[in-house]
Amino acid sequence: MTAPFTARLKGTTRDALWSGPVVDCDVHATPPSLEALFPYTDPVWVQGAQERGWKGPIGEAHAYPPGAPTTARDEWRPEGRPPASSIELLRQHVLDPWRVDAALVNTAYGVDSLRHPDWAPALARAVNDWLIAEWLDRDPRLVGSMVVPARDPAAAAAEIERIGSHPRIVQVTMPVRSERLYGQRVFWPIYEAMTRHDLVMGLSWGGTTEDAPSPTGYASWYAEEYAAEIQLYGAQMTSMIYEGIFQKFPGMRVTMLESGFAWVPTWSWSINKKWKGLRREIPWVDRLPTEIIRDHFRFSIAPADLGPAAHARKIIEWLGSEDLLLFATDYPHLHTDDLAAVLEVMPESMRPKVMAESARQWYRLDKALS
Amino acid sequence: MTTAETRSATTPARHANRFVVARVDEIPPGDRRIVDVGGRQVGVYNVGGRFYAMLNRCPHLAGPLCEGQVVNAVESSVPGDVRLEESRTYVTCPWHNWEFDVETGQSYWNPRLRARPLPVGVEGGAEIEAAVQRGEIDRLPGPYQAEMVPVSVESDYVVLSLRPARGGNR
Repeated sequence: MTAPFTARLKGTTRDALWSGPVVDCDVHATPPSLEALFPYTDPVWVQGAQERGWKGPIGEAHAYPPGAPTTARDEWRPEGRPPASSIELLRQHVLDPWRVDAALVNTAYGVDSLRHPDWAPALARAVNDWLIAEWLDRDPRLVGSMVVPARDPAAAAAEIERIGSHPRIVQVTMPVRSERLYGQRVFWPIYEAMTRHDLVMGLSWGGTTEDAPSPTGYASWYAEEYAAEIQLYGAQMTSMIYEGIFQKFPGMRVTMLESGFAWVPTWSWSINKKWKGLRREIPWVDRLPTEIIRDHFRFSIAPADLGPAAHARKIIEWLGSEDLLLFATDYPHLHTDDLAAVLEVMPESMRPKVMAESARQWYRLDKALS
Repeated sequence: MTTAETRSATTPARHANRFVVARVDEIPPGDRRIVDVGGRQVGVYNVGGRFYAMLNRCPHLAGPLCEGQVVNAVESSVPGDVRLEESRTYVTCPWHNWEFDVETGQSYWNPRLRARPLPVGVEGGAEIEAAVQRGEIDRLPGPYQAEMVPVSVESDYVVLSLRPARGGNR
């Protein structure tokens, strides 16, 4: 019997879970305040914020509401500042106890909630420069996921152009909620820039509150909204596959962060089946969607949402590949997965891939961290 | 007096495995006819003046393959680039719309999956008449039968063979 909630390593040890190398592909870094970004912000927007009394993207206000158990673990919730807002806390909570070889820092900051055509890119620049200066430059184990003003593809591409060649930037965060589906051609400038810099697209939980959390509109309850967002990953994955971005950009790689993965086998069977009969409409899709998923998608294992072990074993088997899953703690979020149990249902040969090797390869970490 | 007259047209001669299925002008280009050959249904297609035949049975779930649409291949390398490839023709099963090459029977998406093409060709009336007389070839019911009686025959005929197209390889 193993202790539950093992991401925090309470009631177990790192070596009891896994003695090999560890790459955590999803830890968060949250700007402690808008002011913390001011040293990295063009003065016109510093004053712009001060004039208006703007305190930052609306997303932040409810990213970690105190007392909401799903947003951050109690013991990862510091006094007087947001969770995951300092590198010291990250070291203390994840990097050191897990003895990670590398961790991929995703900044949870809703730059896309600004519709301002100049301010949103300026905010993205500030967040990225802050991420590099205060996180990546300060710990040799960290690589980063840059943010972009995702609803403005030209501006997003320009930001990738500006910072995407930084050796420690390995990913571009795109929120899973969006006004339009990501396979659509309006987003191609982003993918062109992304693949030119050999960056991964990190499709991340969230997005702006004005974009509906389900493909059919708004949920009534928090519980409903929390559950609904999973559907968006499937919708975005289908859009990207069917619209042909992996033929247009063969180097494109997408990591699904916080998406779970138990739904992937059945969803991919379904889009396989549709493609077999309807592929004449989308003839650029030249092979089964499941094959495209294996080549171009990875899934973080936090949350795992796998159900009983016997079912979980089937789900892992149905993925049809040992290469699709990447270990993550999703620090500081609370997921109630027992990581020991998740590892237990995987074939032994799969575990080193999940814990480090796949992410190392996927994110070219040997190059990024050299 | 000939043996052909006393046989049921839908019961082939014991040893015959070639059949007259139509007069050439009965299946114009772009058209198709599904014929019953001893209980087996076969679709006979005229694609741009060339004849093809295929067992009316989808290798997927045994659907009536030859009742589906006949379409050209659609080719593309990237989204936005879509071309009709008129040199390649697919038969699509009406049940799931899977495409099979009319020539090889090969499935588009799974090349290991094959519909069953059968050899079919056009032969001259006089040779047909002689082969029928020898019992090497049988006829299916059709208006052309009337013309089989006179010695002098001018039409060409579509002749189907039930021998597998490839050495027993489905």
